[in-house]
Amino acid sequence: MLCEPKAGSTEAEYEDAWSVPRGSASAAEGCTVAVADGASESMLAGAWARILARAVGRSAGRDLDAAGLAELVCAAAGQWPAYLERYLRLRERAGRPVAWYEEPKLERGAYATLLGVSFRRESGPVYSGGGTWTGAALGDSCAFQVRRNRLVSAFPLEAADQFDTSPDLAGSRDPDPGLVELRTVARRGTWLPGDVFYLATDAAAQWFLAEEVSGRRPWVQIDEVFDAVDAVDTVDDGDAPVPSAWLEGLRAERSIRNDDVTIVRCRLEPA
Amino acid sequence: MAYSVEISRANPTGFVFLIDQSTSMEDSIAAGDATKRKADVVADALNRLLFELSVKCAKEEGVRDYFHVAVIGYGTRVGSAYGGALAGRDLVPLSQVADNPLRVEERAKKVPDGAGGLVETSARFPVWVDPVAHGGTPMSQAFGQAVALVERWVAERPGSFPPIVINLTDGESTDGDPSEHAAKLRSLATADGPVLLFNLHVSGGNANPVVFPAEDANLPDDFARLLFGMSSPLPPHMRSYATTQGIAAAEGSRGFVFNADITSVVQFLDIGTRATDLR
Repeated sequence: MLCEPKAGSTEAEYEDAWSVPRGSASAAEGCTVAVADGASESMLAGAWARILARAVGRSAGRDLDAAGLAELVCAAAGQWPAYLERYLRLRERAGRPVAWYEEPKLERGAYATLLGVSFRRESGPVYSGGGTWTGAALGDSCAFQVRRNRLVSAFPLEAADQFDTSPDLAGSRDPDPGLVELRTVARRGTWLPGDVFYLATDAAAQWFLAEEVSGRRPWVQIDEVFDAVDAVDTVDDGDAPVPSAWLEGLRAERSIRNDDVTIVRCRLEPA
Repeated sequence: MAYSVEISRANPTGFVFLIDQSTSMEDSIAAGDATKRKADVVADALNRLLFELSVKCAKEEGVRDYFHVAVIGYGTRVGSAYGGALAGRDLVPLSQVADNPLRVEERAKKVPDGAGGLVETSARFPVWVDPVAHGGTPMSQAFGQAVALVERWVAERPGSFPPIVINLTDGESTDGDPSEHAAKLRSLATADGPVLLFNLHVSGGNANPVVFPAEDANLPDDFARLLFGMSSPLPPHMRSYATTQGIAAAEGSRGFVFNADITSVVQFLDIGTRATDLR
């Protein structure tokens, strides 16, 4: 997985989140991966993104759909007041009580996009050793399915020009389950051994789609980065992470927006 | 494309407010049922804008310095209108503006009670500028100070989003024609485009406001035409935002409002400070 805060921000300010299963999932179980992207104008967006990603990850292979995602978001929002209270107490104890300019945003709550994909291995010759996948997405974090060097599926967005500055978001303050469900995009499909899924938050997702349409095979570039040692997100002094040369290059040539970048790669192996 | 540079902590932009604090600001402004002094309206709008800007840029670790803000008052004297810890300062990083209001007032506000009604609660409102209405209208001198500030800014930060100067006045200059200074301001530029100068005329009159005109044909007097001539055309993204707020802003519209009422003042300041996505 590749995760990097936007240029000019520290690792502590990184507001994307992800969830991946620990170890590799066994043949009998399914697994769920998730990414979430905290809206930078909201406060505690990173914390909310982490809460959401973990909540989806705990699906552990159960099928995902719009109603299910809405339920997870609302359950997570139910925990938000307690989280907020703990946060406010910590701030008081640290001698840095909440300032007047934080109150309005704390009141409004945190916002984030959210994407989860569950994989299940299925028996039966029709699946050829693979299985089914289900996904649910709120906002513009995207999942891409690549098979034999071809993009076979992309959701919820399918083209780079579909991204804008106001994606649908999961809010932490009393979200309306009906509305969340309405705005969630669900998709399902099958997977074969050898398929690779990439989940990406918006800046990387938009770049991926632009590259794909130009024939530049973004998955090849990502794989090169992942497979090289220097792609690991290392922190030299705890303040500013060392960005990967690849991402630095993309940002310099303006191929990718300067934003937090998270890419999760799931390689689906035979049993 | 101009006016498209990313505004960030490493690359902030600047706002310079010029506020008329002359005696005539004691007069009332059209305010629906209530009567409010022009000085109150201008001070309130400015305080509200600084509030909104600070909140917009607030994160867990503090307010991010996407903006540096100067407030120059002109009346009996011309100079920084900041008080308290910020007294005498010109361009101040937003985090320091946010942390140093003159005072923070507790004000009652009504919020939904979740059952279809409203309940009164209190919220904190910082105040940076108190209303002042005393003296003449040395607008030229104020513009001269703005030129000095902006010249220094563009020399020090040639790659920034162009600084924005916003003049709030109710009357004519008493120290000569400010047009030359205004022209000088608009001739300054960063790599991202020319400095923007907007003028907002607050009035006690009953005439309808003229908002973002593209020509001066319908303006009632020479003074209005002068202010119009001094105002920069609105950049495209500000025109789009104005349109989404229900304000017509055709190509060629200038950042100028004549006979502004309270709503126009607030909307004008909001549009003037709406910029591209903050990073």
